Amino acid sequence: MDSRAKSSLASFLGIVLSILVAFIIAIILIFSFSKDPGKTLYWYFFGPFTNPFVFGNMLESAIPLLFTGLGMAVAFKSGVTNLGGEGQIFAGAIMAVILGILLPNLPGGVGIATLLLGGAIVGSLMAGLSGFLRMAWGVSDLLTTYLISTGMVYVINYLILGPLRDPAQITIQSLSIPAAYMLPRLLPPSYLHSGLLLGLAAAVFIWFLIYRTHLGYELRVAGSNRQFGRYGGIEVRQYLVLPMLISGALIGLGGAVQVVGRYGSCFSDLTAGLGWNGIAVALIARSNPLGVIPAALFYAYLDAGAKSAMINSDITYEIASIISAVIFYLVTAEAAVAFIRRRLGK
Amino acid sequence: MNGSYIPAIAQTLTIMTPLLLAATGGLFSALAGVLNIALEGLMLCSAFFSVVFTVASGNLFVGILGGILATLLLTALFAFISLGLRANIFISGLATNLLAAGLSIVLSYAIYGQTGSVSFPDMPRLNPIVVPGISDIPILGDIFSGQNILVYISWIILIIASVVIYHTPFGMRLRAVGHDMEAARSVGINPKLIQFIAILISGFTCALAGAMLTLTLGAFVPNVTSGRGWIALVIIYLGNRTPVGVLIGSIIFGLVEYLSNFLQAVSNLPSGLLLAMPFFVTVLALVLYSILEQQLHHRRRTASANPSCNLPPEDSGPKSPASAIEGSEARASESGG
Repeated sequence: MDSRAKSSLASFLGIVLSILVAFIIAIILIFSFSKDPGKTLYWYFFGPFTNPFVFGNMLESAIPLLFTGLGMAVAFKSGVTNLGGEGQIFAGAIMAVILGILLPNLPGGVGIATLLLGGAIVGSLMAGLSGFLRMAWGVSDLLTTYLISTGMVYVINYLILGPLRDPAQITIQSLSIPAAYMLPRLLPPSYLHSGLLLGLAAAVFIWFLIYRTHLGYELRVAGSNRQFGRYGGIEVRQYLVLPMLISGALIGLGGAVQVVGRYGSCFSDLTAGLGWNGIAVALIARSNPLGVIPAALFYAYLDAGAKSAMINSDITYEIASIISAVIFYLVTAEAAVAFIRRRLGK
Repeated sequence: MNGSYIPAIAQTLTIMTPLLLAATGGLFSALAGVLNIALEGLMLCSAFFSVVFTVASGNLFVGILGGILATLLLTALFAFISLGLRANIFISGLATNLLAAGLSIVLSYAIYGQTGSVSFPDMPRLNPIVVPGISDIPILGDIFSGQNILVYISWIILIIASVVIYHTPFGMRLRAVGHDMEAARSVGINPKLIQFIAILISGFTCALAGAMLTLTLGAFVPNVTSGRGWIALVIIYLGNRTPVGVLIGSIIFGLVEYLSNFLQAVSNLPSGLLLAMPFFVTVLALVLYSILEQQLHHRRRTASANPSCNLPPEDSGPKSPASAIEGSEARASESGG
C-alpha cells in the first residue's frame, strides 16, 4: 500500500472511529436521560426504517444537507470560510417565496427554475460579498459570513412576521407559492420529492467542476496554498470570491429547494441548523463532493433517529446536536488520524 | 436636556458588560494566537448552569460559582480537543457552540420538563448595588452607582487583565506565544500550556458574562446569548487586541445595542430590523477597520520604500482565520508517512 492510499485509509478510519465514538456517546446520553433506555435506543437507531413514511422523510431531510454540504465542501476545498450557511439557506428560501408570489402565472417548469435560480443568486451574493470584502481589504470572511448571515436571519424573520405573513394561517408563516411550482413527490405519502435528484446531480456536477476542469484545479491549488498558486501563475485573488459565490449559490439553492420541494412557504424554523450541519457533512465527506452524498444520508439518519426517539419515547430532539458536536470534535482530531496511520504503518 | 441622557449611559454600561467580560477573556486567547470562536457557546453554557445552580441552591454566589465550574469544564474539553488532540480549532469551537446549545436544551428538558424559556419568578436575581460615597455625587452617582455586582467585577477584571498582560512574566509569555510560537518554544516556553491557560481564562470571563445575562433576567431562554460571543470576538480584533481597545469597542457595541433596544421601545421601526442592526454595524466597523489598517500598512510601506515587499497585506500579515483552516486541512491530507 503506498503512503497516499494509507493516508486516505487512515483518514477514512478516523471518520469511522469518530462516528463510533459519537454513537457510544449517544447511547450513554440515552441511558442517562431516558426512563426507558431500551425503547429509546430502539427508536433512535431503528426508528427511521420502521415504515416507508419515515424512511422517505429521512431521505427528504438529506436533500437540503446535500446542498449545504456541497456548499461547505467547495468553501473548504478552496480555502475560504463560510459560516453563513444559516442566513444563506434562509435567504434562498425567502427569495423563492417572493418570486413565487410576484410571478404566479409562469408555466410550471419555468416557474420552478426561476425560483431556484433566484434562491441561488441571493445566496451567492451574500457569500460573495464576504469574499469580496476579504479580497479587497483583507476582512476576515469567517467573521463577516457569520455576521451578515445572522443579521439577515433577523431581517427575513421580520419579512415573515410582517409584509409576507399569510394571515389565513394560524401558525406564523409566509404566503405560499402557487401549487404549480411545487416539485413532484417521489414516495407519497412521505415528503420525499424530486429535489433529491437535483441534489445528486449537483454533487456530480461539483465533483466534475473541482476535479475535472481547469477552473477546479486552480481553485484547489489556490485553496491548499495561495503563495504557491501565485508563483504558479494563478490569479489567486479572484479565488477568494469565486468559491464564495459557488458556495453561497449551492446553499441558497438548497433553501429554494426546501420551498419548492417541501414547504411551499417560509417560516422561522426553516433553516433549523442546516447551515451548521452542512459543515459537519462536508467534514465527514473530507470535502469531497461525491463523499457529500453518503455523508448527507448518514447525517439525515442521525437526525431522523433523534426525531423518531423524540416522538416515540422520552428524549428531546436537541440530543441530535450534542451528537453532531461530538462528531465535529473528533472528525478533525489529527491526533486520532495520526495514531491510526502509525498503526497501519506497522 | 434635564439629564435624560443619564439613564441611557447607565443602561449602556449594563448592556455592554457581557460583551466586555467575554472580550476581556477572549483577549487572552487572541494574544496567545487562538481565535476563540467558542466564546458564544461558553457564555451560553454558564447562562444555563448559573440559573440551574441558583435555583437549586437559592443562593446567587453558589449559582455563579456553579456556572463558572460547568463552563470551565466545557472550556477544558474544548481546549483539550483543540490542543491535545490537535483538532481544527475553528471546527472544535463550532462544536462547542453546538454542544452548549444542545446540552442546555436537553438538560433543561430533563430537569424542568421544558425545551423553551423557563422562568423562575422566585429565584434571587442580580440586583443593583448602591455604592456608598459615589451614589451621592449628582451625575456620576446615577451612572456609576446602582449597577449590579458583575458590572463592577467586569471593570476590575479589565484592570487586572491589563496588568497581567503587560506587567507579568505570564503576560509576556502569552504575547510571545501569539507573536511567534516557534521562537517562544526555543526560549523554553511551552506554547500549548500558555494557550491552554489563555483559553481557560476566556472560559472564566465568558462564564461571568453568561451569568450576567440570565441572572438579571431570572430566567433561562434558549440561545439567550444571541451572537454576543461573536460580537465580543470582533471587538477584540477591532480593539487591536489591547485592553483599552476592548473597552472602547465594548462601549461602542453597548451603545449600538442600547440604541437598538431604545428604538424598539419608542419608534415604529420593526423590531426585527432593529435586532439585525448590531450585526450589520459590526460588519461595517470591521470593513472600516480593515481599510484603515490597510492604508496605514501602505503608508508604512511607502515610507520604508522596500521594493521587495509588494505582496498584498493579506498574505504578508498575520495568518487570517481562513488561511489557518485551509492550512490544517492541507496538513491533514499531506502528512502521510
